[in-house]
Amino acid sequence: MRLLRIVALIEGLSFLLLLFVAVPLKHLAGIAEPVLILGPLHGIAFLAYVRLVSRLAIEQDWPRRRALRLAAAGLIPFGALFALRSLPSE
Amino acid sequence: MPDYTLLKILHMTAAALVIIGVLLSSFTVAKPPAAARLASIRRWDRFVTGPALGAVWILGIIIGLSGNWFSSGWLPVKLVFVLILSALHGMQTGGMRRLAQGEAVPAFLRFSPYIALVSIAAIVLLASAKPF
Ligand code: HEM
Repeated sequence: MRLLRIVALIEGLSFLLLLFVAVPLKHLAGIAEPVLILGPLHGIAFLAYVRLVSRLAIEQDWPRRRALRLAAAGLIPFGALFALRSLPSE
Repeated sequence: MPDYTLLKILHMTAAALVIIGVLLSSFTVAKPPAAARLASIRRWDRFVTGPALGAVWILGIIIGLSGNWFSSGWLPVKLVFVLILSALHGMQTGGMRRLAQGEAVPAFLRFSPYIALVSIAAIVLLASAKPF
């Protein structure tokens, strides 16, 4: 579960920085580099996050709704981190 | 930046390992083998298929960016199937761990080979034919 929190943090943070810092920088200031770094990082983090949620859902026998909610939360900036708060603490 | 062709060849090589590995794991969770065989399949999954999947993601994104493929139509559609295949592989890894602990896996993992078949076929067709 610790690993899930770490991956969710990277996923959420890279998404937030991409949307609210890197993309405005590219379109308003013409600075493209941040998007080129954060874009791929976020792509990998998102795939890793969905794969990890899928693994833990089976490994720990989660209710299907929880797995789907957590996976979908990855689509919202920081959604994954908020969704994680609804997990029972171990 | 290394040569585009080299990166593409590495991407395809890693993809071949992913395809083999996901199919192997598919049949493993669909019809669990005896303990010794399960253990060796889990080692393969951990040391070959898992790292190959990570390599495919990273190399794919690099060639996608340097070849300007993200603005094409086929790549986003392919990525939906990559996401399905990656989630499937996650479920298989979790399922094989349960099997190793002597627990049952959810019944729907029986469909693993079919989900793998459809996603792999879609990925390879889209990437090679680039129909749109
Ligand atoms: C993040 C994930 C991925 C991205 C961004 C990606 C991107 C790409 C791109 C841009 C190409 C075209 C290269 C070119 O024609 O010059 C390609 C080719 C290919 N990809 Fe991927 N890919 C990803 C994942 C995968 C996966 C998971 C598989 C299979 C399991 C796969 C299998 C292939 C194959 C077989 C080709 C070669 C097609 C051909 O040229 O005939 N890819 N990929």
